[in-house]
Amino acid sequence: MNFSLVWEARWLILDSFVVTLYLSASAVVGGTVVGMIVALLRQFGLRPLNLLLRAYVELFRGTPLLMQLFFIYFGLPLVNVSVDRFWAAFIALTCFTSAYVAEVFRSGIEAIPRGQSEAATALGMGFFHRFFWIIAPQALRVSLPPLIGVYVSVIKDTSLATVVGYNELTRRAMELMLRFGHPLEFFITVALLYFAICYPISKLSERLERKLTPSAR
Amino acid sequence: MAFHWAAIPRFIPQLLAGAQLTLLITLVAMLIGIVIGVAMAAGRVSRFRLLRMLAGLYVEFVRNTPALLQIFILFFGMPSLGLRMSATTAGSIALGLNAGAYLAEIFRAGLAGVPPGSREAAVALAFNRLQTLVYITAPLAMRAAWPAFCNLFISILLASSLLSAISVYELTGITNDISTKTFLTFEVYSVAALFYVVLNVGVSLLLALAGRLLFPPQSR
Amino acid sequence: MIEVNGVSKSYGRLEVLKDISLQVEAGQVVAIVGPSGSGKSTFLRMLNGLESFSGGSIKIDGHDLSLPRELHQVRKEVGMVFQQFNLFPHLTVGRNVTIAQRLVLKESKAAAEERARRLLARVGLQEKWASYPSQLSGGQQQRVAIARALAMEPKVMLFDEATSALDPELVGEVLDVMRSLAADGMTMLVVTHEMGFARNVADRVLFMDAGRIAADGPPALILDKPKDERLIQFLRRIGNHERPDHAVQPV
Repeated sequence: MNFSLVWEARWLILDSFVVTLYLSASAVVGGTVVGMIVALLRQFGLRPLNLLLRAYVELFRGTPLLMQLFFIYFGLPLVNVSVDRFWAAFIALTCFTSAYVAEVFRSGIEAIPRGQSEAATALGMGFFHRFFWIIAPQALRVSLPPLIGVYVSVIKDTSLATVVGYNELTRRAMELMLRFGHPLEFFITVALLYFAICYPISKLSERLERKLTPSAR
Repeated sequence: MAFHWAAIPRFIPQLLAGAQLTLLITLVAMLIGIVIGVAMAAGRVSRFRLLRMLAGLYVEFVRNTPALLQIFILFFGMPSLGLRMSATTAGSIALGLNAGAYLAEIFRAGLAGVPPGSREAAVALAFNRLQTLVYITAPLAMRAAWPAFCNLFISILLASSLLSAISVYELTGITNDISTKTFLTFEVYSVAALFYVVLNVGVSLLLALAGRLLFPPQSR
Repeated sequence: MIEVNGVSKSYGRLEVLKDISLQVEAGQVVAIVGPSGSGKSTFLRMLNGLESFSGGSIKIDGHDLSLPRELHQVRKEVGMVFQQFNLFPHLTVGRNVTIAQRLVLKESKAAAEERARRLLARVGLQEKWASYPSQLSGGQQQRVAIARALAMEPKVMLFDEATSALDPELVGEVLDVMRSLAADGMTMLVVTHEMGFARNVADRVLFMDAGRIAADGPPALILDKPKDERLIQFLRRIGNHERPDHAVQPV
């Protein structure tokens, strides 16, 4: 195997690496914000709203991200909304991620014993006080490990933007491979770059999980 | 903006064919995945440090790199090693390797979920190691691993869409094809989304049913 | 029946058992008492190979436990009842009692089921044949566990704090089964906190403390006229918590 070509192309690769990180960070922020909003709205307990939000979550979790991406990229122009590659990827990833984030929060909130809510009510706290001071902080703690898992997935899922031509890491590898050959060298290098980011974050999540669940043995 | 829904029924047979391929790919990938998963899970809990490390390396590498990249590595990389295979085959194998890494973790967690007392009781009753494994450890581990297994099955079902990137005409691939040829983007994608939801729900129900049959509920 | 000679066990630098020697005749019922950490459970678990030992030897019915083939034989002849019952949760009660007979003793289905039904009737649970362990109370589960162990037709029965995990009102039903076993002449080693059982059913009481057998004798002597200082302290502590409703009828 000949890695000298990889070395020569290193700046191109690193450039795409930064692009990947940028898209990942954007989608993480976007997805988390939207996901939190969805989770909060679901707590209101309004039936029609809950049904709508449930449909949203089930739709984005039950269909492939790739298809969602295609739909946004090819579909929006037909309604006269022009989207460049970044925005298509960003919107698709944000909606997709938000659905998972909303589910993670929902589980987190449900994991909190009902007694907490009851105690807060007994102390005279209204909905918003209860939610922001008692429920949400505890839910966030519990949700953190699975949330980080979702974020790692986001980093990996940015690779899908390849299909709409967005120049993130995977597309760069494809491009270089098509131009210079040596597919294994380019792809493996790129894989190692993904690994270098995702593995530490995954381990962090595992360590957090162990610290947050002191199980009495 | 007008929706031309009437044009859609013409494409239903193609979409169904795509859905069929999606299911086939999923099944093949899961079968490969189970074999690999069992092997890797055994490796992870093995007494030999080298096996533990190799299995761990495989699992961590596959779980921390994008599935699409893995598909590319297999499809574009294999010919340079002298292996030629169709896109569908390469994609299914790549998905299988991917599923295998996740299943390794799922099976390992399932094994950990077996009450240690059950194994001790089997030893005290003079079971040999194979008997303990087959009659006590494996059934209890599978029971514990079942929910995660079902989740992964659905994930792989959705991940099969990635094969469209190497020109496989499963459901997403067919949908793209139809959409670019007819510009009925919204209509066709909506129907395809519906197909995925139906596939999703259908497979989930089947798995839940299998779960009830294999692991009869036992609470009071 | 049981010969233990100079057996020790250490976990790293912690010496859990120190030079234990013991002989148990067939048909004897031995109660083993002592504070937690005294090594009584560890010692019991050595008798069917669940714990290893260093130095010395253990022979049960002539079989030497340090030889693997003998160990397998021993496990068939020594039955064990655990504190946490350890019934197989995915199998019905009936299957729990027949599975070892079928797999290990190679009994036919009919023979295994016949014996299982007989034993379940003996512990008073014949109608629970098709139930799962999770549907039974603790006391019922433990009685099934006893039936499961008895199905192997053991020569020795080991009880590792068999009633410690039970709610107080369920302890009696299990002690009754144990008492009837003793009356039928089974060789039993019982690690227990139930002093009523030790006094009225056991032929012999061993007091273990810090890895040694500190006292060994008939219950009347050990429990009513203790000489060892730590035994006296132990009995005083236990005595304050003794539950009056577990007066077990003498055999």
